[in-house]
Amino acid sequence: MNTTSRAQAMGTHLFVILLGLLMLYPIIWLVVSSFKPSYLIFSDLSIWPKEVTLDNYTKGWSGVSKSSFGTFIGNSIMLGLICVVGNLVSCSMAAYAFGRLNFSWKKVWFALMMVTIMLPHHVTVIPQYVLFFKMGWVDTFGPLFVPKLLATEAFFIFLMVQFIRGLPCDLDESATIDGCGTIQIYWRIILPLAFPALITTAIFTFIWTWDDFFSQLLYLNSPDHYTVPLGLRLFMDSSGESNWGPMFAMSVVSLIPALIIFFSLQRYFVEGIATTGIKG
Amino acid sequence: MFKNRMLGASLLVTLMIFLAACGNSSNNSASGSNKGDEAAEKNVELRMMWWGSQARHEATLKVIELFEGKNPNISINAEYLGADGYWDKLNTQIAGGNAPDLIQLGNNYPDYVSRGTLLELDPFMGNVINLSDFDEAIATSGKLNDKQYGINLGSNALGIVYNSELIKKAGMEPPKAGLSWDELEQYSKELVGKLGTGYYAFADQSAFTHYVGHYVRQSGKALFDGTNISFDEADMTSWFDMWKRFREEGIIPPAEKSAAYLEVAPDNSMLVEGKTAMVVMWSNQLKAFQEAMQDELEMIPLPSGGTEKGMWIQPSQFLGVSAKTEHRKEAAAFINFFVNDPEATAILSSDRGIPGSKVVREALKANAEPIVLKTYNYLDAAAEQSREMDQEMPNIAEWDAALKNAAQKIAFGEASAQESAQEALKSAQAAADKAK
Repeated sequence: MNTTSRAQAMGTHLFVILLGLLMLYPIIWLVVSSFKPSYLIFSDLSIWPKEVTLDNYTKGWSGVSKSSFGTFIGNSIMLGLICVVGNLVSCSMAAYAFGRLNFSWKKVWFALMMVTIMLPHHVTVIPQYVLFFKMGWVDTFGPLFVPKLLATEAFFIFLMVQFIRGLPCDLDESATIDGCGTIQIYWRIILPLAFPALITTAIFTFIWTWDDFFSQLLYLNSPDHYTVPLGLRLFMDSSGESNWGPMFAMSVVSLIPALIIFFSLQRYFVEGIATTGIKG
Repeated sequence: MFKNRMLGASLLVTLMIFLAACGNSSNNSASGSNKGDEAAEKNVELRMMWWGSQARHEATLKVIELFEGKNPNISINAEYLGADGYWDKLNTQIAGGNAPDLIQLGNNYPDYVSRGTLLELDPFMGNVINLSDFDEAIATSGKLNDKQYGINLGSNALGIVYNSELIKKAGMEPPKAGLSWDELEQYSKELVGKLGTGYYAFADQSAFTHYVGHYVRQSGKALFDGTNISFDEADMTSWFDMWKRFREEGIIPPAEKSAAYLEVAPDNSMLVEGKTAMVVMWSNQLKAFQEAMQDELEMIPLPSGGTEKGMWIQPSQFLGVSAKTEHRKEAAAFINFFVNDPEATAILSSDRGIPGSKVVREALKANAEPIVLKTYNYLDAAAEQSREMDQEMPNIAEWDAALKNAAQKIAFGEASAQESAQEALKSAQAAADKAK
């Protein structure tokens, strides 16, 4: 009995490991290719490189002309962090208001906010661009992070509203009896309890900002302001020659921050998904 | 109460930090635009946007620096990116009233002329912009309705690129230049027979719009004659029938493989993997494919046949000026520098295609690296097989998609050649009619 269940467990593990390797294959291929000289990347598709070189990393890191890839990563990290803080503060305040406070037209405002989730991004691109252009914000980071400070990410507000609605109101009432006002309830009761939702918001905001290509492409013009997705695209030209080696190398490098954030917050993240009922 | 106040204060502080942060950025840009205004009195600031790869970015930036060194009152802000997203960004900027002064365009420039984005350059032709060293056909390629809207930055030609090592391995002579469609077919059968299973003579390019263009031009027709579609169902049917036969003979890969390998870039190409011996591509792609593999590549003209020459020299890129620019003359001066200055053209080399100026071409040929020299020599050979190009079909991207669809239907046995030909013709008509 013991041996059969053990064999079964081994079988399951083997299957899961193989499946995992299959899923990881593209990433493994990316990492291996980043160490291959460029003429071997597509002509020799095997996973064991015939020649190993670090050239791609040094070439990629030096970036394009005056801007090194370090600048791009720095820009991306800075932008990501500002957006995370912005979303956490603004969206949690908005969510608290929708979830707990009473104000006139509350349902209408909430419905309007939900409508912004459904509005296709493309509809707003040009009016938004005109707006930011008239404000003189093109080629600054303004258009990319200022909206985040004003709770424009309805998705996260919705996520947190749902979470806050699930917290028992008795807590608020007892806090009121103990002398808490509206702000203190937000700060002392709601925020700590909504921690899993906050973590989910933080991770998603960071990864979405890190991966965002289109809006960064639109608003950032000078290469000194470029972020990682734009920097990676600089190596590529679909109509001519692409520097695949350096691009793969820098793709590997750019995976690292996202991986660090994800793994260090993974525990809360899974908790957040479980308790908010939102799947990644 | 005290704690409440503390909390309020801390919230206020956080809020202020954010306000300061966003205030900062707006200040920065405000001072930036002020600088621009002051500068406009003495100095001129231009913006130039192009797409390309790293090598092109480096070269173009160097030329901009050189130009700024010679014209200290003009500074050019470079905005460069890969081809992905270029048109989205450009279109948004144009719609937002913030178009760059100097714009790199492809053969789609007539679309931008019809939208009123591009400046008519005729007032500067001959005095600021000098195209006297250009081949006539190349100089006029930037003209639409007899007005100059763009200056050509380089030309390419289609050709057959073959893997000389693979052919040597099969124990065969390389294909000779100027072979006919029939000769190509015979040659390919022999080649596949000698290479064995898993190898193919050439790629399935039945959906390559410009290759179809070459084919219909051989019978004196054109994809688009300037006003109308100028080929018919019979042309398309015989084209598709021919490729169907190639597929049955096993000289091109089966449908599943062809669907996976697009052969438009080295990253998914059976040529690069050494499984296919020949692929039709543009001459400027030769370098990129060669750099992705070790076997030596060579280039010969497209198959001959029919009553007329099918090939043509295709201008690949243009530099245009925004209609809204405040510094027309300076922009025009830069274009002239870009295509004529000996130093600048030496830096740019043939990255954007073979330059239009004869003088520049001779200078570049003298010290070109071997692979680039191959491109130059090929272009000379191609020129002999060429006649005047036709105007590009409007909305060609739409037809391109429809053609792919139609060709795949045949490959997978979903439609007959005739049905697909009808479908392809109909969509070509629709694409061309849209422009009227």
